[in-house]
Amino acid sequence: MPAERVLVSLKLAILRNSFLKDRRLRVGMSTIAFLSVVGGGIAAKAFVQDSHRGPVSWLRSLPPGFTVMFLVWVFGPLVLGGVDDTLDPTRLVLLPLTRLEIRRGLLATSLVGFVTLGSVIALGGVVAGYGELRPTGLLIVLACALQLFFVVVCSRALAVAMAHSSRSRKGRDVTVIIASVTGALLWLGTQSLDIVSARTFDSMSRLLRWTPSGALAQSVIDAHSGKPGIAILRMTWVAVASLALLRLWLDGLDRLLVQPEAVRVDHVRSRRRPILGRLPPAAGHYPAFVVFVKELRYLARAPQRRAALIVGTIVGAPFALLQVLRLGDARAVAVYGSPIALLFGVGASNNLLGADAASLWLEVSSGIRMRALLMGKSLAAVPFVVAPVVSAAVMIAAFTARWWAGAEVVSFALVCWGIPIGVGCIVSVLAPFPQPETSNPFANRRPSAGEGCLIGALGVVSLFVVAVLLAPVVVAVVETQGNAVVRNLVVLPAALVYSVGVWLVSLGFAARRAQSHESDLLEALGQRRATR
Amino acid sequence: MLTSVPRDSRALEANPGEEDRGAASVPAWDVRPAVLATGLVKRYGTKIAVDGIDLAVGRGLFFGVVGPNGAGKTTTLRMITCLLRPDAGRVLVDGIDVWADPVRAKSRFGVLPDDLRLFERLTGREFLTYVGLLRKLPRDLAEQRCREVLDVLGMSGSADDLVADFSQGMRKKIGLGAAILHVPSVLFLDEPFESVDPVSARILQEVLAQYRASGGTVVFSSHVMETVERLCDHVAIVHGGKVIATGPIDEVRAGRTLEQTFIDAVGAREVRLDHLDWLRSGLGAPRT
Repeated sequence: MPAERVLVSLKLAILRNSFLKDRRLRVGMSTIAFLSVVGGGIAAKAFVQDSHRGPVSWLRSLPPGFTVMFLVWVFGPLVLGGVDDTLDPTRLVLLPLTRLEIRRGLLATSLVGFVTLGSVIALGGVVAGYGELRPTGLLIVLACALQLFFVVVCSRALAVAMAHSSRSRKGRDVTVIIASVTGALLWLGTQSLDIVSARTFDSMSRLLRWTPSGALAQSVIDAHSGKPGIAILRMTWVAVASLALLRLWLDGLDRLLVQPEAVRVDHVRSRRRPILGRLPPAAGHYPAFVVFVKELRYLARAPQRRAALIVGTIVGAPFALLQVLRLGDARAVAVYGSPIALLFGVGASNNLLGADAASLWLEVSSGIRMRALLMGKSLAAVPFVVAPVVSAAVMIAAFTARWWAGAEVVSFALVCWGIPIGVGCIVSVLAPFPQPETSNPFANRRPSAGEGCLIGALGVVSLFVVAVLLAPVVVAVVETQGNAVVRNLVVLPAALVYSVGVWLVSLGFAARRAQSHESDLLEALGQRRATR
Repeated sequence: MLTSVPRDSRALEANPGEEDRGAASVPAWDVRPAVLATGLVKRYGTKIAVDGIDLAVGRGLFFGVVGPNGAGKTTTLRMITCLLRPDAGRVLVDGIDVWADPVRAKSRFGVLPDDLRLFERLTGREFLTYVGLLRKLPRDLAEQRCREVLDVLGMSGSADDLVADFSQGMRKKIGLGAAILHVPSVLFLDEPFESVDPVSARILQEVLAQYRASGGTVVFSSHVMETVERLCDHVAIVHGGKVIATGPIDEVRAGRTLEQTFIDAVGAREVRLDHLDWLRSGLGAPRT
């Protein structure tokens, strides 16, 4: 049997087992399958309907539609950090396969999957709507096939490039920043559709025609409008771009296969001085301080922790900014909406025990009290809840030119950290889950295990609790508006006392609970679960 | 006695018989080695992990590579098995230059690396079958060997479980199964008995003994001297990225135990136990 067929069969077996044999994966896989098929079906229906409406509708549906498909394909490798959870090529290095076999096999397997199925359904809608029994109809089919080929090779080339970049800490950080900014912009774009005028949308669609996917969409319109020459020209340059990307992918794949340790991170050792340098001699008397310092070092070294901080800081700001855009004229007040960016920080503060979870046994067996452990970990998590709010406040203040309000929000974020951190302590003990041990900086949960939903739900619930607990501070701020002296000398210190109080009470509850459920925590955060 | 390794491996590859005629003093097993590595070098930045290793492994041998942690054993095996490109040097397995013709070379050897990267979402049975198919075995033969291997390794009962659910010992066993499925002429095993329970270790050893009895060559790394002493007839001691002693195990240990030979060879440093006075001071002493 040719290797390509074996690899396709192997990928199908992996997908089948993910459904049938792994209960945790089943939820995630079913969601992906459902979204891909339903999303593809909705897109296909829209393409068919728009094909009957005329050139304006074509322009509004095809270039954005093709671009969205492209973004869906490239966003996968971005958030997975170049790690292919289904058919990782580095697992084939021991086998006597020729380059050609591996290349053809991986190209074939990349066409197997739910996203491919959804894309084919959507493109089927284009062919059904715009295709005709004329030579130009063939061009439309070719344009759709080229779109599928382009998005596949682009996605694969990006995945391989990111696998290489994950070799260094700097490379991983750059990757995280690029992925965060791209994700934030994408998300902002989709959320802003209802406040973008039709004229602006048309301008954007025209602009998209200069991108490869947009050009292919336009070539469908050209072919449908009886301009095959222009359609062929557009398709030609995209075909050239696709071949160049294919070359990039294959070259990167070769390097990955003969130097597979490139994707491993354990060869890279930092020679930098650790944060806070050496522990002071008296540190042993303060276990919480030792834990705090250890966690800060972990924050600097663990890809997932650093990625969580970077993502929260970058993505939280546009999220909060969107609320400002929606508020319209109420711009001055909008700055106070910055704490909504907390949503992107509580994921880390709600899982204080999840990073390096498998080593919890060491801390437990050392006899450290859970209160000290949680105190150290929660203090080290303060940047996760402060940084997103600060970045959002600065961004919104800059956008609304209300710098004074921005400064106020920053100062309140700095004194009110105890509230989200306190809530995080409780959630961390009640619903702990181990972060997987992987070089993927975005893997703060196990892929397709339904933990994304859990993180999201916990985040929303805890944010609601935080909002309730913050309410007295907000009332005090509103009541003292216009009286800077009272606000700075009374409200700020009182808010600090209040937030620290909330933190200490929550910490006490969480510590008692953790102390009496140590074995449950060890089981929930064990090594086997972390590596799955 | 240190074994002489032919420096000009190109000449050996071109005409193996020539070496026969020119090296009367070299033992018979060394004349047409199953594995021949010359001048292997690997650097990570300024650190030299492997510093010009020469290694010759005769056919049909059970060859142990021993050395302290960080000596370069794993890096050497990875370079020999096409898993890591060397900065310098050449490797021949069965007379095939592994870096010039990796596909042919990989079809001649099997590998059980230390960091087993398996397809976690396949069952044990599927994993072995797909490995067989990708090694170009006919489907019937692949399935038959898969069944037999699972049976011998005592894994028939868990053949339909996902690899992700396997214990470390089971992973090693299934890894070994995948490495021998195509009947390689050389088998490379990196720390095969680490994290393996005694029963599984016994099974692995029996499989390896049978493989060797059929003429196969086994090269394996370990720092468990007892295992090496029991299984191997030839050994190489690696230290600081260099081979510091190699040859038949009896010659290398020269009447001592392998552990003592190893410690003498790598120059074990003196242990300053006075630094651990607090440990001798008893439970009544202050803890901080």
